[in-house]
Amino acid sequence: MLLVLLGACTVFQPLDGTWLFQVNPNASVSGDCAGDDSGGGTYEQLGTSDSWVDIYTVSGNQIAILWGEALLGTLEGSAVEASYDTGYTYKKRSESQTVTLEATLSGGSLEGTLTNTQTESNDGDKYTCTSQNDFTAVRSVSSPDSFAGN
Amino acid sequence: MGALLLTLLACNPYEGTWVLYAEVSKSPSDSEIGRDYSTSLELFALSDGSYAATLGSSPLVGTIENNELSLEDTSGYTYSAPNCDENTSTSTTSLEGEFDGQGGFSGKLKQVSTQETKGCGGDDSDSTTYEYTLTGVKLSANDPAHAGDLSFGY
Repeated sequence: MLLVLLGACTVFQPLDGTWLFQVNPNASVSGDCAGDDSGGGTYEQLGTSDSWVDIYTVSGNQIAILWGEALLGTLEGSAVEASYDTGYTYKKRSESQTVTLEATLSGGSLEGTLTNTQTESNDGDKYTCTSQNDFTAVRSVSSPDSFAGN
Repeated sequence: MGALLLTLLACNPYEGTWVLYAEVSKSPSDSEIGRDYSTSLELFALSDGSYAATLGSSPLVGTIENNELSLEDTSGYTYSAPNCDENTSTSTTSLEGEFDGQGGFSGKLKQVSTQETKGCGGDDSDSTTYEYTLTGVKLSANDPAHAGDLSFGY
């Protein structure tokens, strides 16, 4: 009887749930914002920047990663890719930001990079700054019923 | 057979919402010693066998083995100047303790902030420690009589 109940029609979505993302706070920087502006010194952040992030399967292989903004993308095999775009154009000025997450799902954990590209353009002058942070993530397996108020 | 399966599917005894009573046991200010607070934390089991708790702005991550809890979060930076000066600033929050197997917990919360300077003129360091003695109880899960967020203050 229990085996029948456990065999009910539910499709396991390997990404669905709440994940703990641990991000290396030391970003690789490229573009117009790169360069030595620290007077020759070096600066290194310690530890990781940790965040709780919810991931949903929307339909088929399409996913939504809620990390501040909603990054929309796909899970293809073990490859995860999702992105978020924003920006505006007003007369001769425009600004845009693209956040791209690329990761590999392996053994129930995610490992990848988060790339943030910001572009500003004003009357032909263009400025681009790209920063990239590495991260790992593991999924919470706690039951929602374990928490009072849920 | 059914009872065995239900037992195997039993909830993790650690994960969930815990109410904590905290008493200051160490502080840079003597007047703080003995002050008490109540707070809550949520403890999550993670897919790699580790655990994470939400207490403050950043999750504490670590392990639970044989009813003994050890979670930690560290942040900070190191700056190395072109000359021989090097400054390191770190802040570590650690939560350690023991579960009694009956929904109870006892332990301590420690917050240590450290500043270290290694310079051409010598080395210097300064450290500030706050420590709290903790006792806690686990709330019954899915309690419809107490819906909503848990917020305690002092």
